[in-house]
Amino acid sequence: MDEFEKIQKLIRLKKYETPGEQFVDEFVTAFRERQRAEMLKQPALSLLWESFRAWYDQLFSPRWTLAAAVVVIGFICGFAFMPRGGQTHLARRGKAPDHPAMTLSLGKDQTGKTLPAFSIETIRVMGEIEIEPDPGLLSKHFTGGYDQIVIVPHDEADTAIAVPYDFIHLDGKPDIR
Amino acid sequence: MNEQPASHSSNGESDTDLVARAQQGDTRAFDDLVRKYTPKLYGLVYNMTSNREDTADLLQDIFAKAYRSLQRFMGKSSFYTWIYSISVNMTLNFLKKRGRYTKVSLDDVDTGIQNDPTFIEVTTAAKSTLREVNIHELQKRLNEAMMKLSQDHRTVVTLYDVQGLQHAEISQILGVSEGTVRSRLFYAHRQLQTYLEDFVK
Repeated sequence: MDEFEKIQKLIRLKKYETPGEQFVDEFVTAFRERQRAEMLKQPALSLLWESFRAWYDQLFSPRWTLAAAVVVIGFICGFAFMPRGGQTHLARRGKAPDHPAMTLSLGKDQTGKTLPAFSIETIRVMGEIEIEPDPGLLSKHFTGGYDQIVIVPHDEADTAIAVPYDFIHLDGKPDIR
Repeated sequence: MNEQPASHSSNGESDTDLVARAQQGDTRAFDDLVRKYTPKLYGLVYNMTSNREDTADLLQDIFAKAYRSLQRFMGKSSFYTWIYSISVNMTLNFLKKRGRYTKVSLDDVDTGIQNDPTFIEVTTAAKSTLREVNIHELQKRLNEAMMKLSQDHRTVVTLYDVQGLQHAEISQILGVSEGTVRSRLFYAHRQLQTYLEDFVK
């Protein structure tokens, strides 16, 4: 027997140091009492929070929690970067207009006949983003004023970038451009 | 020698079943787990602290923590490994806080030691070399030698030599490689050999 083995056998004698036969029963009883006392001492809010955490931990694995967090952050970012004053077509569908309609006049045609005026509720840009008619915005591209805007062609020297847009008429008439 | 507790409790229920029931709020199932693991974990904590009052207090904290964390136990390791890991970590934290101040408070030695071949061998050799060795002296010397070891070395000696766990189990509990476990054991034994020289020669 080598000396390491002797050391092992010697140290193994420590297993004979025991707390006594009654220890386990007394310990379990003390543990139960302590648990009950802790439950009573814990404020109700803390117990509720602990129950919620236990339920939450059981419900979601860490992987799903991460996935859910990514989705929520995605939504928040989506809203944060959405163009101000703009709403998606879907969001607007079926809702009553919450701003006054704008009346536009096309002026006169080549024969001098006055073209009929019309009202617009919404301007759809690039086929998707709907914006409210904004005189400030329109005045960059058209001459005229709010409620009686006269549409004239762009000045060719204008450096504004023209984006495709549609007028959505209150009376459902098609875009007359 | 592996003295790992049986995976079934005295009433035949496996740890997995008891844990599942305890996770659903059955406190009696957790009591069964406490009853089953108390002797082993007591041995672990006691041999690391050398103080029976500290051991009883710490063991209460260990089971209370295990109870609070039970919902987060996913069953990726065995309950046995999980509760041992909690115990080792909490005991090491306790020892760090306690610092150098150690009040030794030892348990009684079971009379079964008198029939242990190693004890007979040690005491017989002692008589022949005129060394007075009784149970209490041996206990005192063994404890002193253990307390001279670093906490990491004492942990592996307790788990391997006293508790009879295998290298792989200790590696899982401590979260270190088996090579590290073997290396720590080697150095710990070499130190113990120096401290207990008169018993092993």
